[in-house]
Amino acid sequence: MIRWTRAAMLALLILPALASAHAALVGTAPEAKSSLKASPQQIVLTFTENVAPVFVKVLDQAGREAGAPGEIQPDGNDLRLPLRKPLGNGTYLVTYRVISADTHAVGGSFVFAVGEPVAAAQGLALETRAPRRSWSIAVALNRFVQYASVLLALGSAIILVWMRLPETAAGVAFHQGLVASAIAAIGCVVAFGFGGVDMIAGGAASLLSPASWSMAAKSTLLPSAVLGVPGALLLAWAFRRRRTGWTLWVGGALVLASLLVTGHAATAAPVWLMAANVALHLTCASFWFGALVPLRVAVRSVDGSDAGDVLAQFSLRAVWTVIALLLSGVVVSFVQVRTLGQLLATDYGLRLAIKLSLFALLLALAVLNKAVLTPAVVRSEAAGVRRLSASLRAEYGLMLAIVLAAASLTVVTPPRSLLAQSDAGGSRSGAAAAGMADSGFHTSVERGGYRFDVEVTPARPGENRIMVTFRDAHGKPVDMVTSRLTLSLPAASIESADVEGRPMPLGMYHFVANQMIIPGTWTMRIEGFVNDFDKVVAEVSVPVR
Amino acid sequence: MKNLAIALVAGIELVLAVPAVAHNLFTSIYAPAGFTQDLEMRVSHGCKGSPLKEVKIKIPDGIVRVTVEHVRDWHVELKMRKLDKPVPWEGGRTITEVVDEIVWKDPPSPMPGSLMYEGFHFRVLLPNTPGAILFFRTVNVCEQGDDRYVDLPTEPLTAATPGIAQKLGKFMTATPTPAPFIILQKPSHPEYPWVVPTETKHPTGK
Repeated sequence: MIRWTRAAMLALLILPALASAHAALVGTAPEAKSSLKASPQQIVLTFTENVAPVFVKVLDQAGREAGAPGEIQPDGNDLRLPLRKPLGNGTYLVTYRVISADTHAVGGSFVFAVGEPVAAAQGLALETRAPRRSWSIAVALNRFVQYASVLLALGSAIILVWMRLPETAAGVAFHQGLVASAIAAIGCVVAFGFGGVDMIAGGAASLLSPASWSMAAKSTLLPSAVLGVPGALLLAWAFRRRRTGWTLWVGGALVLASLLVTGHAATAAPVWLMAANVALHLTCASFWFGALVPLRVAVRSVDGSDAGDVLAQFSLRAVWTVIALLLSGVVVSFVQVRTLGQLLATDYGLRLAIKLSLFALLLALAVLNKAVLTPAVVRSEAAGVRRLSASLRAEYGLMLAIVLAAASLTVVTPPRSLLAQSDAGGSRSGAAAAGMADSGFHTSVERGGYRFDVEVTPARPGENRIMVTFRDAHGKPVDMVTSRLTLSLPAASIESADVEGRPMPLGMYHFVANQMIIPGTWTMRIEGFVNDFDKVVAEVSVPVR
Repeated sequence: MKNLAIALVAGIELVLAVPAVAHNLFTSIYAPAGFTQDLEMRVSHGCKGSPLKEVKIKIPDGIVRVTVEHVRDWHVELKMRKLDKPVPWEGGRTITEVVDEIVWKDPPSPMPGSLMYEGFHFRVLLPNTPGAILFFRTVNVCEQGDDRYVDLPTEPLTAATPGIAQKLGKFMTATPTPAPFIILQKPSHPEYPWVVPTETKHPTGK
């Protein structure tokens, strides 16, 4: 029993290796929120794993690119952005978007200053376009289906090759393998399409766009699909024809490889050691997963001695499997654990904890099966058969839940802007505080005997909705003949431009502004025409951050 | 004096030449103070490419007599305004209301939004205030949207204002919608009815 507890503890260490986490930024040079005496010569971003850069930009407070950056140079887990011109004194925003080895897009930003303290958050929280969450979820759900189906297909192949199964159990294994490998083949293709959309942060329409497919083709999704689809089809053919020869070996190796090339193993150094260990790890897990249904069928449908034989076979192999699982896991986690500490501080850590508790439960059930229920079945106790059958079913459910949890780890949490982070801390800077509601920015000004109530939602970089309500001196809404609104960002030399608008009842005008993509204090000029020729004009400063 | 007037005219023409292209503008920006004058207000284009279907002109204070050229392709509407103080007129009559606004609308076909212009003609009796600059606020209504050339200078301007050419040029470009204007001049030669009117004090036209 103690041995099993120890095994469970060790297993907790292993799992992060299997969790296909997206890359996380673990260090920057210059350090985030630091103030340097002189301009840095390069910007260095350090991630938890190899990443492919989409862009890294240094923006000044006006939102202009600064430092005349050269080509981005990947260097191990680092990305280096050389600056060919020194940065002047001021606060700078580094914003980046990268594709991690597990094919997920990760974006974010941080600030640093040169020659002066870091400026207040206002105007510096440029957000890169976050992947649309729904697509990230679609990708993760598909990944769950893919993981589960590949593990089941591989597991079915392994038990058919490695164990002598009674007829009924073998039939179930073939059937399980056929269904799982068919689903795995589809999952590979869907992963390719969804992954591309997720990477370019597009919507449903971009599922058909060449950009998303070429982005997917540049990522590890391509080799994954190239290995996975033929592998899964070969397995499906073998399961259908009830072949147990080389086709199962080759097909199984291919689908296993398709998982390896998109995971951490493909990139973490030393690559071959990692790949071998993760492969062993996945193989052991799939054996366990794939054996559950055929075992249950065997236990329920044949007489005690046959059940005893199958269970004895499984128990023997399971011991070696768990040992291999643990050993491979220790190696993998030894490499990965350095970054684990940093990851545990996030909601990633929370999901990981859920997954680990599920795994602990699974191990507990396995111990119960081996120590108590299997001997009862061997003694041909009817109650034992019932209990073991129920226990195996529970293990199956737990296994699915663990795979689901692993897939949920890959959901890209939309990168929060610096502002969002500082908001969480309850700190809000400067003069803008007065006018910033949770839903955006609002203010009121009086000009020429009229009151302008202005609401800007969400007052963040991107599309903003502006509602202007005109009121007379008594606060009564006034319907203007027409209203005109222009926006400019003088600090960034962004000239004033008209904003499309339309009148609404009760003195309101509704505008949709697409040009407020750069953070900063925008100047909004609002004209309300009292009649054809006479207008009242107000200028309002709108902080966008 | 005459040379000075020519220099002033040349200077203003130079400054106005470029921005004049895009806005509503009087074809001739000089007019003899105190005389009746035919004016052509030129609309240079539609609203951001949209065809023009209506033009409105607000008559500034100080103009008490307005007649509009009769045209058959626009429906002309005159909006009147009662005068606070009746103005004595020829033959012992008094004028109690004046044209406040001229509207040209409902054309059989609108003026194309680009590559064409159209002149809108009316005749006014100009106040006898040489040097005054009269701003006519105008509105172009198009099939899509409208352009309202209603902006006035931020400081009062007359022809005698130092650096007036530059200041008018600046006014024309400070906003996208400056009101068109005319500059009243002391007639250099007799105009119809061949008598030079006696100068009267009048505040700058608004």
